[in-house]
Amino acid sequence: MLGDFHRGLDWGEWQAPEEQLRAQWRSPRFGPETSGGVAGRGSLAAASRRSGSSYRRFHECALEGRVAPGSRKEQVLERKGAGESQRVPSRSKEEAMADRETASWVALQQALAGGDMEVVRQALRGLDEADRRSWPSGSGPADPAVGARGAAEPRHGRSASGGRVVVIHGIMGARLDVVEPDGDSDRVWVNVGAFSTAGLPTWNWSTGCAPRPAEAGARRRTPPRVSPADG
Amino acid sequence: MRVAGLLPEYLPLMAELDGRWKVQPFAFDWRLDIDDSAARLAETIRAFAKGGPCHIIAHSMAAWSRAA
Repeated sequence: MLGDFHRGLDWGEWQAPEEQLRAQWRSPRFGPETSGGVAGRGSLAAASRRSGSSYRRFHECALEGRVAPGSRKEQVLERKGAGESQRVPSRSKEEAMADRETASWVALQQALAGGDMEVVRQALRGLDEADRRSWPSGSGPADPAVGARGAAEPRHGRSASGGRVVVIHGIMGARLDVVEPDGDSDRVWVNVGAFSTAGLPTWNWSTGCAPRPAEAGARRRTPPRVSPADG
Repeated sequence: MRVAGLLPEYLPLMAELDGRWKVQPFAFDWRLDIDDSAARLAETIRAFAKGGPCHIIAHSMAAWSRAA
């Protein structure tokens, strides 16, 4: 995924300003007509651009290092600034249904978090054709849309005769969320724009997690953790 | 911190496999020590395979799974 982004960049201009990186991110190379590894991310992003989903908001805000407009995080910050209770009322069912694509993708992510393929299939059945067009491609051995339709069907009538398979993701292949006391959550991810424009020095080691000198014959058990520097 | 599952980019692969295989996705916190993840993976495999054979599909950082 991050590797796909690398392939789309012109590394001859790796020191380009952030605006140029944003332009590359939005270039046709990341669009659905792109072949190869970047197609999946591009087609998902393109579909989200059309629909105005939170996926687009996330990527644009991540590149710009700001809170997504309209997000629960922004509402919490606004209430905090106004001295109000930080708890944001839950959206009504009608409001949630109005953002159907986001809701269906959230349901799918929740199904993935559960790790039960039967629940994933149920979530897939909740996607309509427009949702499935935004499927990431290039990851499967065949047309992912065909696989999606097959997986979305109930298992009865199909047999899992091949045996049992455990699928393990690669580095940064799982979604990690920081869950706040009020129930809000923030995704742990790399701000690619800041990272690519030499933003690493603005990170600090978290208190208590400073790197320790290596001990001979011993492997460090505590991972390094970083957080944005104040100011 | 919550591990909220594999990224959707893995869905096409899992969906394709799911047609013929019984699939169990395994998500882990990629910041933590691999020994801890390996222990959790071993536990997952034992519960999933129930003593039978079990295939593992992994790439990149998931090479640590051999430690399980």
